[in-house]
Amino acid sequence: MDTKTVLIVDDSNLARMMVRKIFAISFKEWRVIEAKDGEEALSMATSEIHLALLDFNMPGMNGLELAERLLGQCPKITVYLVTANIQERMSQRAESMGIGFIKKPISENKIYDIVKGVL
Amino acid sequence: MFDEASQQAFLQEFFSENREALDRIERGLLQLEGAPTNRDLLNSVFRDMHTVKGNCRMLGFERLEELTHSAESLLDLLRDGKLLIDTMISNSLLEVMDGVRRTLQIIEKTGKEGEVDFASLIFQLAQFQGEGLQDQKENPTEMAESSLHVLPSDTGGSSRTDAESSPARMDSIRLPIERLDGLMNQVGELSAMFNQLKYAITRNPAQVEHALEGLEQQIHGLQGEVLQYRLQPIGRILETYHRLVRDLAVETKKKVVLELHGEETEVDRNVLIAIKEVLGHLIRNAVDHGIEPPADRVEVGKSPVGRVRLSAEQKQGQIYLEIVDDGRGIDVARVRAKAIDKGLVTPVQAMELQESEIMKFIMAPGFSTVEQVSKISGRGTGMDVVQAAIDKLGGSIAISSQYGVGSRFRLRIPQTMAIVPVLSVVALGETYAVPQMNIIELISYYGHEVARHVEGKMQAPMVRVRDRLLPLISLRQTLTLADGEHGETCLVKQLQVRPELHIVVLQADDKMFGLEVDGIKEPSNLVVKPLNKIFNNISILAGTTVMPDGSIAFLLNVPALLYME
Repeated sequence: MDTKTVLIVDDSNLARMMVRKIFAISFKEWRVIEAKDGEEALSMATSEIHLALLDFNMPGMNGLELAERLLGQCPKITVYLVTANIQERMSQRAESMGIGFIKKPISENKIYDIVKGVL
Repeated sequence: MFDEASQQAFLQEFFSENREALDRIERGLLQLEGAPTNRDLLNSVFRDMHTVKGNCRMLGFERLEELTHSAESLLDLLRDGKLLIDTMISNSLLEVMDGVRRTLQIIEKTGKEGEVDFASLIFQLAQFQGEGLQDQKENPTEMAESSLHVLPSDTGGSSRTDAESSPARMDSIRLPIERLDGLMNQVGELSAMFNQLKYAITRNPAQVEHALEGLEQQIHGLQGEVLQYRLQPIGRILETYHRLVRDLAVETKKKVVLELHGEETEVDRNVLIAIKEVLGHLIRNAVDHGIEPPADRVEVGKSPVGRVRLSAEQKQGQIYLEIVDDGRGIDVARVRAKAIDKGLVTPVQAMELQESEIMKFIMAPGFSTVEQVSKISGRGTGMDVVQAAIDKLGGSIAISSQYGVGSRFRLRIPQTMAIVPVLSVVALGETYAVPQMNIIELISYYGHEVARHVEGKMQAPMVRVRDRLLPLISLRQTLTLADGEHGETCLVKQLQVRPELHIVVLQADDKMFGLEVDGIKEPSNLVVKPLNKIFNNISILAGTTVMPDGSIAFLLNVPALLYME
């Protein structure tokens, strides 16, 4: 079984804990790394990361800015923004860059849909 | 899908992360009152509220989610500059904080949100948002200025009680798991030592002493380690006073800034709990009685905004706390007159006393120089209660003030009360423990030396220690309170004919005195427990402890001994 890596970026400890747990229970082949803001995430970004799940509201840069910079650094990463409400303007800008959306709250099913698309 | 343990872990993180965020939001809201357009502050308050909302949603607490969602929407308008924060909005958002905190407590106890109803608060928040969308023509700066100190009279009272009950959360602490592992290791070594001792007793008596020493060392190490965890940064309670000062300022129509220094100073959590009320009392006094109304301050050339400075520092096992205000100060002449009036001191004595000693009278029961009874701090504000609480902790308080310029209250309290280095003394066949921190020296006189050192001055027994004449208090007499029968002159004579005299020279509140005891025993470090309630009104006792022989002894409250006289 090939190990893949997912980067979770969220300023909420609780949110990171829950996503990590979902991966630990249902997607065991995934290695989970975490960052609490965009700055930290960019410092961890490598080509070994397959998937990034980014919170939108964070201190420093927001999730969309981070997504753009992350893709600039490592274009192969599949990036999803995790938000509660998606604004029209934002979603157009994101989709044009191939960034997907997950509606909060995050769940096992939603992750399953994404994970099976990442090969 | 999550197991019990994960759910518990999520819940713990939910509480601690939300509470940290709530504390930051509250601080931010208070700071915003002085800087309503600070974008960085608005952004961080918004983000924290967003985190709290997200957390509530993740764990399915719908009522909390609804409440924090409407608070977040309001903050969004504030953040975008479509609405300017004023006292009304700030009050509502602070009410949201209180509501969320209360609900978190309910969840902590019951696991559920319960029947909390935030409908009226949510309605209020929605109304502000309506205003924000409609009133954009109005000059926002003007709006904030004009409403900064206007408050509907009915919310003032309730917000104050909320601030006071705002929990400082000292009933639980968080420890990294490594620390627990460290403790476990020490407990492991403790059992190993115990086994060695057991073996030595039965098989190898020569090794008993060695094993005992090892055991003692381990216990000592463990004690120190556990004590370390009991120490908490004092900032945890100091932070809560921002809210108190803010609510008091609004209520008294004053402008006050609270400055904190030394929040990182670590204090035993029991001491923290004990001083929380004391400090609150002194701060209320400073705002209510010290700081003048803005107009009065401007008149005497002060800034309209009063300052209260609360600082903490740790020096050699003692915590020094200072509450300084730049208010109207204390009128020493008036305190002196009142003390004479109340019969606490004779006019002649009053003239001899120094200013700092005169100031001490404001700590006397029922003493007040403010003619008007205030709803906030009441009459005399129970400064005697403050004094009593500080005495119980083995601390002291010093007051200095310059009339018209401000006042300074300086408190000294021990960093921990859990383990106290003491000296055991005997009186009337019972053992009493005296805190080492009060002890200056130990002196014993024998035979004819006794009479040479005991004197009577104005009927009171005194002891001559080298060239100083110190008041001499007999512990035996203090305990029996039998002074009615034979008067103090007689006590001097009684003491003078003793074959031996044992004196512990003590210091409390910058005063030195001798405590005469029947015998002096060994020093030790003892675990002190609070007094049982039935002893509460015996001021000379500060706690109980189990002595090495298994008997129970009382810890003496040294300052109280002095004031018994």
